[in-house]
Amino acid sequence: MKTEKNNKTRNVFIKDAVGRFVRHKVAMVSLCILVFEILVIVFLPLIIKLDPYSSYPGQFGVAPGGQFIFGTDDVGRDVFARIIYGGRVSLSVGFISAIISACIGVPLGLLAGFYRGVIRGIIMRLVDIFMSFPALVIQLVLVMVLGASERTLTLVLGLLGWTSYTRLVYSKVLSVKEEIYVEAAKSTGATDFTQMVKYILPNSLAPVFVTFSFAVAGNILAESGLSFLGLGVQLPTPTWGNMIRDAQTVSTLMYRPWMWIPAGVVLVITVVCINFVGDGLRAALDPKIKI
Amino acid sequence: MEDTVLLKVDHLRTFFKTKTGVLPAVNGVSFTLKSGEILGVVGESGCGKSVMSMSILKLIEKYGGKVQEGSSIELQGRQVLGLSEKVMCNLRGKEIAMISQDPMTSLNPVFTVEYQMVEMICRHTEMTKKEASAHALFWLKKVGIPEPEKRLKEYPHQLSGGMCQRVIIAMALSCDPKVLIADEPTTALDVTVQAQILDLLRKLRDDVNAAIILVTHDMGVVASMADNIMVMYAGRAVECGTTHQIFKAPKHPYTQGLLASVPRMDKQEDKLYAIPGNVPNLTQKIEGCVFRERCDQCVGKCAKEAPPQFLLDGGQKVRCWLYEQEAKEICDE
Amino acid sequence: MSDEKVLLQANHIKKYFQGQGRNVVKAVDDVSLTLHQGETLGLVGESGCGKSTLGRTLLRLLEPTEGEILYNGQNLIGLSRKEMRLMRQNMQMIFQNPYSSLNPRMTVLESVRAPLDIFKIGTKEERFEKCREMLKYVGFEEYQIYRYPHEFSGGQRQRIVIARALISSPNFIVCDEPVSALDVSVRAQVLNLMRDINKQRGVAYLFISHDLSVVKHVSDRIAVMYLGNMVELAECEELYRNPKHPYTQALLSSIPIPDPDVKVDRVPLEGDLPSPMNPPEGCRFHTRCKYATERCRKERPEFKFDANGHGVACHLC
Repeated sequence: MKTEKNNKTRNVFIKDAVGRFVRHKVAMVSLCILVFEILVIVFLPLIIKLDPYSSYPGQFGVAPGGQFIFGTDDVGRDVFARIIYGGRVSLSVGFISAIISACIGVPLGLLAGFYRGVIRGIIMRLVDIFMSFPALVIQLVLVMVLGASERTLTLVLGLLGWTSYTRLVYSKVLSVKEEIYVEAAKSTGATDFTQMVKYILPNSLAPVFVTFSFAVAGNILAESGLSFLGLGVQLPTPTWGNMIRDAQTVSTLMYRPWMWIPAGVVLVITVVCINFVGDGLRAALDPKIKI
Repeated sequence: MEDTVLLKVDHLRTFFKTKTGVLPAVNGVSFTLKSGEILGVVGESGCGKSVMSMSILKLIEKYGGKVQEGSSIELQGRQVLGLSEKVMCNLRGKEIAMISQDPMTSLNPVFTVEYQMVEMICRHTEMTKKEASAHALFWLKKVGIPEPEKRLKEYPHQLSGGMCQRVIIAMALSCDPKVLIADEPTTALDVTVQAQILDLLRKLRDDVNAAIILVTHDMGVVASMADNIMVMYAGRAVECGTTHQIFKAPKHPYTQGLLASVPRMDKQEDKLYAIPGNVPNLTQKIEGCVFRERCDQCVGKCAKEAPPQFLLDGGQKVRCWLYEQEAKEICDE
Repeated sequence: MSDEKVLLQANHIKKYFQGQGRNVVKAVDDVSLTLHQGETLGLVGESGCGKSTLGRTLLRLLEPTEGEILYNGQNLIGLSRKEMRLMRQNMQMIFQNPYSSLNPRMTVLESVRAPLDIFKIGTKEERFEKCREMLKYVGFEEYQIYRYPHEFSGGQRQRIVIARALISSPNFIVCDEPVSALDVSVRAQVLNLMRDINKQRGVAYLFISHDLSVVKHVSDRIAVMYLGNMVELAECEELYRNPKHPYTQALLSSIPIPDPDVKVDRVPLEGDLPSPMNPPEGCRFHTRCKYATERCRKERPEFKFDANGHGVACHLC
């Protein structure tokens, strides 16, 4: 009986949030596109045979048509298959690295905002240090030292991207901490930990979700950029970034657009949709914003 | 001095379009204001008194409110609702001025007092900057600010709450408006400062013969200041009368409940009367009298039909079926 | 003078804040008070008088700069953080703004249950029962307790806050302007509820407010503060009938009476409230007092009680 009642409480809040998200039309459309994309990327290879690695002999640089929906690339590989498999890499790098950054950045921001003083000083100096290094240079150096691979890239992007979370959470915690219900919690005897986790954190998470979505989008772009430069995921593993790399020669750029346009388009669509979903999430999760 | 009618409001209706429906914040309010009169508008939050003040100044559109067709606001015989924004800007400050609740946020923090006052005076009069500055100084003295020359050069954050409110009153009156709307002017102030500001308003009314609409929720303030009182509830005027009539012989159950629930300094009470229930959701159509759910004197008719305003002997107006019999006439709806 | 046992004894409390540069804001400057069991002590004053600061300091939500706070004889100042935390079961606080006193992410039930969870009182079922009962006492139906605060009005939220304050069965509650943000008709509901709680459960209150009419309605004794000092303390009726301190007289006469026939002789106050960062020398009230003497300008008056328990800090009384 009791658990039933507890479930009811959770459901009321989630139902409310979901309802609000659904009413945010742009976010809903974007979410549908993303879900469709993810489903295709995950399940299509299980349904039809897709081979992103094999070269089809004699089919170099073939225009879209027939067997090849998006044509083939210079080495005769199926562009469509590469787009699908490339999506796996790009999306997983994007999401996982953003999650790593959040797991580092949010607790640090929470501690800095709650305790202030020396702890705040140390953490914010760390943030300054990390932020003052040019990200690209560090990424390049680390990738060269550790070797370019999907795993390295995920780790590197994750370990370097936490600073924006910390700053955001820190400034939100500063204002939430002054709210009376936090003082009320203290007056009812809550420990510091309880105050932070139960009272301050849930009310400081809204900007985190927005940052998360931008981080995912940003990391996907970063990975694409690095792969484009040849320093990210190495061939033959396809990613959207290293597929756009093919656009470097003038002849491909002009005469074989199917080799790079699909990757570029799907990259743009994905990033834009993630951003809209992030916006919708933020609005849905704040019980006070009226949608 | 003859009392001329300065402001005549008829059937004012202001509504807001919300996601959950149309909200009639002001639902058919009518009153007149004569020169030298202080009209107290009392009601609690959500009764529409602030929306009404903003509607009179045509400032409500900024907040998404719309004044309905059929409403009439006449300022010194001139219909305000049809006027363009340009003409309204000239009117605001010159003919009719407003003081709002929080004095500390009503002044622009990045400009000096002098700058803000001179800007306003020059806007509405033909004075030069120098003349305007002298005029501002004159008004600061008039509202009782000590060391006014010094204060002119100061910034709002250097002034206390009471001082800020005096500056705002000075600003509001410096262009000689005929009507002053004071929307909860002393709510944010300490009680001793409140007493000083209310004294000031009374004195200025006597000097300048301006008419004041004093919007407040504080029954004590309205008892000591107002000549006439209009009690609002859920967007309607439920009772109107002189201050004496309202306090000594309140007719509407809401007015009675309100007066009974205020703790009094000069009386010892055991338990305060508390009006049961809450203000109804105005986006939903309400059958009958809007106060019905909370009224302990309602009769059968109250549930079916919304009562009109009845005019009683002595000029008191009540919007309640209980007074249908003794009413002299029904006020035009 | 109450014959009840002394619940809280605060001696020479000082709370200073570091302002800009060298400035020190003496928010509370040597205030002593006694709270008896089951008593309601009203604390009034205008902005900057330090009443809210005093309320928080008594609960050690702010650490006092100096002074001792004896709760049932035990000095709260000496307690460790952990011990103090456990003490909080006995002393709770109700804050002014009902709109921000409740965690918007917690349901009503969770908010009211929080003190029980923190102090691990009872089993899960017992806690739920206690919450349900308490919320019923303050006027909530069962279906409402699963809702979120923003779905309720100000008066309802304040009642939830009261339920939360009561759930751990405290002996006293500091109420910081509990009804100031509420509408007049709602105020009456909340005040009546608080009175009932005091009478039925014997909970003592320190009732802080700037609204004297409200304070008069609930208090047994009233203390008046001005710029960090206590200037007068007396039983409720006695204070209103016979205010001794000039500030109290001015304060009482400034309150507008909701009756057009009653004319009050206003005791006007000259000048403006001095800044708490730069309080006047000697008696802090002397700059606005029409009876001020040379002695008032130099020497700070001591707080002295007369035979009836009416205390005042004034050279001329």
